[in-house]
Amino acid sequence: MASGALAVRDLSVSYGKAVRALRRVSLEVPEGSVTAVLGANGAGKTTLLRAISGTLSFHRGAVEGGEISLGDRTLSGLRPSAVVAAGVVQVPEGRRVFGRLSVEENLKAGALGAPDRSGVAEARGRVLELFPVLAERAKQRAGLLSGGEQQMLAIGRALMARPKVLLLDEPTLGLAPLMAERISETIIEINRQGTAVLLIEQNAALALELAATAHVLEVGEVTLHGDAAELAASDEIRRRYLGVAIKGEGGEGEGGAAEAGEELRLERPPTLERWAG
Amino acid sequence: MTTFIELVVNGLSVGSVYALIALGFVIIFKATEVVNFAHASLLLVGGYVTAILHDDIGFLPALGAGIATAAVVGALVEFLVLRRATVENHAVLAIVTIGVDIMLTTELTRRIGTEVLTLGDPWQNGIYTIGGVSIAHTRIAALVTAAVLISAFLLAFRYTSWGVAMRAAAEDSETAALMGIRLSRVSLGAWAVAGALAAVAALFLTVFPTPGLDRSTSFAAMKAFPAAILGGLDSTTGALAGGLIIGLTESLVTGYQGDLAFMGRGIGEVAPFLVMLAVLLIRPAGLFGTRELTRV
Repeated sequence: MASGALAVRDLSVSYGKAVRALRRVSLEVPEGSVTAVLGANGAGKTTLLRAISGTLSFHRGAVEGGEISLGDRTLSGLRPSAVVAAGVVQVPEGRRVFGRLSVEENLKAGALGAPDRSGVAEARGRVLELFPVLAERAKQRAGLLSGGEQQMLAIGRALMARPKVLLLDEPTLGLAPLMAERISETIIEINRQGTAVLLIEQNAALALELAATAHVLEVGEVTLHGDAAELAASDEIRRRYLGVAIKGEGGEGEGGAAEAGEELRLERPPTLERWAG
Repeated sequence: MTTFIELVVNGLSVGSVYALIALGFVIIFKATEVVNFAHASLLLVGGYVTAILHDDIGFLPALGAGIATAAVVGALVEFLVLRRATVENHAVLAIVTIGVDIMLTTELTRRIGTEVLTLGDPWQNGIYTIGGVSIAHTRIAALVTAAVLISAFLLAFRYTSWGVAMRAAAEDSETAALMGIRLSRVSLGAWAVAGALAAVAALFLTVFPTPGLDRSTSFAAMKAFPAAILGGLDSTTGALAGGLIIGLTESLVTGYQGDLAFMGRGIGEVAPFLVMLAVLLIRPAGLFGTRELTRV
């Protein structure tokens, strides 16, 4: 059984042999940590997760180069079921719960990929402890749950396979702020219980708060990476991803920028114009 | 009145056999989105194996061998043909199954030749008579067997891991793969189960009052197509309802053919397809279907 860090080295991916979606991307998710990947739409975040999970073929994509490994075990080239069995499970973007199946059956489906059946009851207990609402709704069709509950179900379903590394694709997308807060607390709790998390988010503020390290993807390449707290304080990230204006663009020290940013955040909420820069 | 009761019972019995075939058809469609035109030849394989073996090894072992062979042939079609084809459009695969069907049927009709093979069933031509209503033993056996198999299948579909995997894969194959469900195994299982059900159906399509298995048996099996389609190709409930509707229609229209003489002879053969057309005009996705048939 493989264990250790999930590592991506020099990964290049293209779709239909024409569209290059990722270019020599490298990142690492150390055992038991939370790592974030930030980036705008089309930066290649979801492609990265597809490559790790082995589902690129559903989208006519293929790994062109590089390697993905978990500890000393190579994951690249494995079928999705083998990746799950190795302990890397993805919660897809947009939740994608099985709407016509009941909540209970969704969890059962999540357990089908587990390496062995012995720990299923225990995993189920843990999931229902994390999300008591799923126990209340056990017999309901998953399609009838609210967005937040569906996200909980999607995370719970993935946890049924008892992953070592959980891949989360935009878990707070389209959720009310309170629910997003609830989900991020859950991510902290899941991580506390020993599961490493690779978090893909557009909500940079939330991602940087949760993560220990972060990587910024832009048009298929990692342009920045480092300690999450440091990145959160850097001008580049504040300007582009946190939507904080910086007085006298780029011309001052870190401490000053942070203070100035704090003031400006109060006056002017983030706007889309920031992307123009 | 007795005629009517006889026709209804016979219709239900034949209908339940069509339902067995249609169910296999629907499972394959749900699991792989392929319309399996080779289904009738899978049925013929099962029937043929039962027919040639029953003299030597007895009826039940022969039936078992027929079921196993049809299941294996179904799985082989999936494994050797469909899995190798990397096409985006499922209609292409449907056409591939027509090719498979032609190959299998040609070989089997060559072997069967002009003979009419019996399957050696224990019921022969026995008839129950209750209050003037005569029902063949075979019709009761068909009804009971089909009911048992269909219930067993639906329970498995609902409660076992296999069933959950099937339904999850049918609903969203990519997400099912992300959960570690092996799609290739799911579709292999679907083809095998469909083949096995078809072999059982072959037995009941060829027993009394039908003379036996001959080269035209696959045409009889074709009537399960309208059953599956009018029920909705992706609905197991639809397969049952469709099978019964087609069976009843065929039985009643054939039985009262005398009164329908203005429509010409042989209307009983055509009636299932007329019913299918009528249903599709009103509900293009079939009675219980959710996906329209545009992709076929």
